[in-house]
Amino acid sequence: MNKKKSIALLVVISVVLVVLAVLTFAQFRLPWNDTRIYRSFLGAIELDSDLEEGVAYELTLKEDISVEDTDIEPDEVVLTLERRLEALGYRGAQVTAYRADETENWSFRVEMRSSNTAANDIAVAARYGELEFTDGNGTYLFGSEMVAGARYISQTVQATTSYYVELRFTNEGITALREAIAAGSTDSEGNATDFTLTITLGDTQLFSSTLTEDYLSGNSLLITASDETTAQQLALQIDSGGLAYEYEVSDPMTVSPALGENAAALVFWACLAAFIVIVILAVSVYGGAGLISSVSAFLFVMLEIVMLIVVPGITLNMAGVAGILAALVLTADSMAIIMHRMREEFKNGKTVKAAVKAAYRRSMLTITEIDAVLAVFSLVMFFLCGGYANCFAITFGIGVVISALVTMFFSQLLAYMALPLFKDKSEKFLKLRRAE
Amino acid sequence: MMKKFDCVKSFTAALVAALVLIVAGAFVLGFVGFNKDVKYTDHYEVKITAEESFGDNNKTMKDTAEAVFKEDGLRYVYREEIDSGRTVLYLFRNDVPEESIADLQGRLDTAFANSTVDVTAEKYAAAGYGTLTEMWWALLAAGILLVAGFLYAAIRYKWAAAFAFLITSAIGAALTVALTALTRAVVTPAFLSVTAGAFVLTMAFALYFANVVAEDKKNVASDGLPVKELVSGAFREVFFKTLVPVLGALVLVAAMAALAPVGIKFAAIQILIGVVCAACSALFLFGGLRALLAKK
Repeated sequence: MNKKKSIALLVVISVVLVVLAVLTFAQFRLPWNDTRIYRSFLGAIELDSDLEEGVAYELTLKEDISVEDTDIEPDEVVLTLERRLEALGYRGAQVTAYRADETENWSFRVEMRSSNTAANDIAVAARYGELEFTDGNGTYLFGSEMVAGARYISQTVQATTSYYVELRFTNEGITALREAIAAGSTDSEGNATDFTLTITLGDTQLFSSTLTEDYLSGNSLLITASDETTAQQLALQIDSGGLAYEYEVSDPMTVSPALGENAAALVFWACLAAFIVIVILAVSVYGGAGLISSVSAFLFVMLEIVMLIVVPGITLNMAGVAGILAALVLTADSMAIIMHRMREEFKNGKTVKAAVKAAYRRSMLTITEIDAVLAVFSLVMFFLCGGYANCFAITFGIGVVISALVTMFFSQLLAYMALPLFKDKSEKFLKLRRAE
Repeated sequence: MMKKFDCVKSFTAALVAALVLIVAGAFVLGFVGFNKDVKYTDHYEVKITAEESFGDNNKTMKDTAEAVFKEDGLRYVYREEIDSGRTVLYLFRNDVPEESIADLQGRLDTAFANSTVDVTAEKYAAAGYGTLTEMWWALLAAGILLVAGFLYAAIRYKWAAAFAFLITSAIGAALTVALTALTRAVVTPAFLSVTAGAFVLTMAFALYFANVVAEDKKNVASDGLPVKELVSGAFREVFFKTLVPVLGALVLVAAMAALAPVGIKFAAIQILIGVVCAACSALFLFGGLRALLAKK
């Protein structure tokens, strides 16, 4: 690459980086519309209730039942509520059980992120009672013991998305349902009638519709839902049943971030401080190579922020921040591997250009293997773990992929562009020294 | 200093220290358990509720309460504002004397002569996050990865490095858990993620160590050198390379501890323990283990 090409490419990359930085961090009024404010990519990240103001609900036993007459296991209820809320999209919801003394029953406090459907979702999560399947006459068919599971499915055909709940029965369950449909499809005089299936949870009717054998496929029944939220809620309620007792849900209360006031802003400033220190350390130890690493790390941070907005369903909480930080440390680590090897190759007698080339070639396999192992870990953790661990897996997994791309390709491009600019002084720029 | 330090010679001491810490941590965990966040254990709540929304007067409520707490030598752990500041909730680890509550109520009555501001104080038993149920799934994920990583390391770097990788990674995570229990660092819901982070960083650092040893072995200048010397030589490179990201992480933790509210301080301390354990396990245990196992 000659000097002119290098300068041209560096200018283009710098402009792209500056634009990306402005879009990522800056907040300003739009010049063509004074009433609208651009809030930046950073401002568009959806934050969880530990970093941003959220909403809290208190769940107290509806009936005045004495503590001797109940067998509430607080940890079990906490876990059930957390799992239900997670299934409804509240990964970082925090549930605590509390009571003043042992003569009182446990109450529960739920802190979660604010959302338009929060009130409805908490009502769904706190639903109680037994799951029952009945026919049109109200005759009991069977209960939750015949249900193998339920999940919600979305299907997009020609830009139209439909939402379904796939309800899977056990072998006994599907046989009982088929028999009920056969029996309910004709009246006592042998005339064809419609069979109606009703699903209730406690005293809440979840579903009621006419049904024929055609709706069944294998052990499954496919139920059409009007929208995504309805489908999610219906699948969850059928799948997990109800709580043992009925709870009264308080009115929503806005709560300050669980980790403290201004938590999100302070985490941002702390991360920025750490980033600046990494830059200073890298530049003072590795010179120009450290500068290249810092620009690469800066791109990493911006791409990670963009991905937090682009990838649907991500809500950032402290665990997610830990994932980003671990990935940032990994990026700095990968860059340190390359810079170290660059020094080593130059020390052993190679020219600057050859040392840079050899350093990237030699580091490629090392970085790929480390990143691949960690990406696999994130995937396994994502599929196996829920709650906070799941949030960590998402941000760390994305970070690992971005880190690999940035360190191996972007930083290499920068290094090759920088070399022609310094020509004979490039070894000084990269702080390279021959062996004594 | 680095020339004098030999990670192979110091291996036994490092391993003994790590094992002592892990065993001590296991005892503390077994007998006392984690030092759970105040929200998930027995605590005392002081709740100040205004009759109606006061806007800026919320600050007066907080200032009055905090002045009383300061005078009485009481330290709250969390302060939460509910309903846009109409209610302020203080969480304490220990009991708050009735005299302090009466004093607070009196001062609030004086400060808000035209409105009612009520103070309630009650001790609560609390549960939740106590089971750390997610931990079993995280352990399963870590187990799967350890086996996969072990097989990969065995193919790429031979058995000695693979076993060293396996043991070091496990010790890195175990040390994080043990030190958290021993130092009585407050365990928040982010703890599992921090431990997972320590685990992956230990693996990353250990894999890099294995890679440097393997590369040095191929080097003509190192031809015929015993593994012990190869490992000692590689330690210097790994140590300085690891220094940049680790120092960065430590600064981050220091900044979080200095700037951030109490909940984040707890997370920062967990991150500090995680990063230190990851770096120390990989640096001081992997090399020695690698040399020892190669000899066997």
